[in-house]
Amino acid sequence: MVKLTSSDGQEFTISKEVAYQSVLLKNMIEDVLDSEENPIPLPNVSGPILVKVIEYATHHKDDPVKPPVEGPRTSEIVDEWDKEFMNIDQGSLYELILAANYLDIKDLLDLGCKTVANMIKGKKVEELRKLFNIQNDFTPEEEEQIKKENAWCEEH
Amino acid sequence: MIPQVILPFVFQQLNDKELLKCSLVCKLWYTLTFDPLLSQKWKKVNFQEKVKKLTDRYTKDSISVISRLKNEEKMDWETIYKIVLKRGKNQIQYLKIWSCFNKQCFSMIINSNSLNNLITLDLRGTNFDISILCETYKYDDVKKITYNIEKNDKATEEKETTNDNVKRAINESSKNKENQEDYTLEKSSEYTYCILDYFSHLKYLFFYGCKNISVERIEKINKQWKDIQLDMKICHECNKISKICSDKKLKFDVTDIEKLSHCKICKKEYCDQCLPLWTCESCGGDPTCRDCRAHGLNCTTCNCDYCYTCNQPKKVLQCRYCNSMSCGQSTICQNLGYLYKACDKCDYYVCNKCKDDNENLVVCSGKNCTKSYCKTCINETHNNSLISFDKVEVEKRVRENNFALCSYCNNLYCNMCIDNISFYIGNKDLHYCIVLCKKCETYYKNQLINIFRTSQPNISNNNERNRDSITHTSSYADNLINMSSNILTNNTLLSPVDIYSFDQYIR
Repeated sequence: MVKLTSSDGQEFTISKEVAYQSVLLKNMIEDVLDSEENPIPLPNVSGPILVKVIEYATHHKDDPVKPPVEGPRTSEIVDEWDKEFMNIDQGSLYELILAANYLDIKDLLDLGCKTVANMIKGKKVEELRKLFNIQNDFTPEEEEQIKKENAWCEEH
Repeated sequence: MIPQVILPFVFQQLNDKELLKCSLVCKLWYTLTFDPLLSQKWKKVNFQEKVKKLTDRYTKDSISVISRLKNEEKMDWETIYKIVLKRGKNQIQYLKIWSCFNKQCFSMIINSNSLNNLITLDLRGTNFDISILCETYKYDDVKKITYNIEKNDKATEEKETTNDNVKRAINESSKNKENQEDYTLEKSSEYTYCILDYFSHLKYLFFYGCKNISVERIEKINKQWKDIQLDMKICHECNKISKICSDKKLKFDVTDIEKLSHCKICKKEYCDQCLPLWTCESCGGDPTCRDCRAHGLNCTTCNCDYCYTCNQPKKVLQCRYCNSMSCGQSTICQNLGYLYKACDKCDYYVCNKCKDDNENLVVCSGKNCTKSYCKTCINETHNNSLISFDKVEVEKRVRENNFALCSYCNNLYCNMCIDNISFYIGNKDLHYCIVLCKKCETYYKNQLINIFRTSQPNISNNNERNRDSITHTSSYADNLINMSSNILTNNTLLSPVDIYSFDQYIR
């Protein structure tokens, strides 16, 4: 078993099998043999997010190793459980992606990014600004210039 | 607000059209669409294809197009080029530049848009000054140049009523990168850089027809960037420059050299004007320069060349005396006269002239026989054992030699004319054999018998008396007596071929 400590001091005990989903944890466990007694501190991951991460890792612990994706990627999420798992608020979603990036869980990172990408898809620029709370810092001329560039890239 | 760190990962999940849409959201997102993580994404947008389309349209018959294009069009192309280069800088491997390309235009290729994976840079047909490629700059100078170029570009853009704020925003990220580079390269500011140093993967540089091409510059590029192959070659003999492919004719012909060939052995380049390469007339093998032609013969009569392998059956024959050669293959050789096998014993040949003039050849004395032997062969094959006590042995040796020399008159007779030779055998008491021609035999026989008759008892009994008895004979008889005495006392005869020893030919 492996003990983990979140940034807010919460302690979690998980099996090595689950912990090995994270490349970071796997390396740490292999380097520090007595991880059962000494909990591994995760200062970049809060308790609630770590719960979500552990939930994901536990659910996917028996999944076969996925081969590298060849050809164009799709942002479509096939697994229904994954869809339901990602049904969280924006703030948690970003934190979850950051945690996945920090813990080096590729599948979770991809899932999080796909979720955000699906949010972007099909929306207009103005809608994106609203959705992500971004202020337009382009001048009209700059915007026009970039539109020209993009138009050329799309056309040719 | 979405964290900046995860944005490139999110952008990875989008297709190129959505990505372009994202670039319009804000400046940060615009900058992040250039993230190296997305280089694979941009690969799907076939920039190489776009560049090709551009160049196909622009460089098609580039020399004449330059005059027809309006300034506006030129600028438009430049802008498009800039966009393509900016987006696809990591994917573009081949870049052909338009006709009016100059030093200022290099700002698009180097600088933040440095084409990292560029393999081929095609400057053919442009007015580009090649000396710029060879010039070395200190890192600061390079920065200054590129800064000035950018400044000029901005000024021109301002004139065209476009606001440079966009450019500033666009360059923000690149400036950040430059600042980082400044920090890392601060210590190395004393090093010098050339423009070609910016393209670490460049393998081919085509600049035939560009300005200020000189042998020195090409040599410099060849030396400094050994991995880069050029479309120019230099003749090692006359130092003239030529293009590799004669099909792609451009306006600016450097020289009138049509072709440069390279020696297959030493790899040096030679133009056809100064030193044509040598190829075997027979097998037409790989061309080699004269210096590398270690094994091969040149027919001095018709100037045809033959390699060593092809010359094995000795197609090219050489006169052993005047060293002239003839292959006998061409009509010139056949008309002027082939070389003749002069010596029937050895394989050496002589030309017609040497055959008539040379005294070193000994012709068979047989009637209507034209066979001849060289004095070297006569010297080498002769041995004193031709005078032996065993007739069979002497006959055998004569047959082996293919000729026989009369021991008395030194006339030579070939194997075919062996009937003219007789082997004189001594009497029962003095059994010996000597080679004589028929002419000499009768006279010699009579004389010798007479001498033996008179001197034989004295030889065995008293030498002094013998000497007294022969004092009255003629000088010719003296010779015979000496020969006979030698035969009888030392079993040797004065070699008849000693007179041929002046043939100084060394095999």
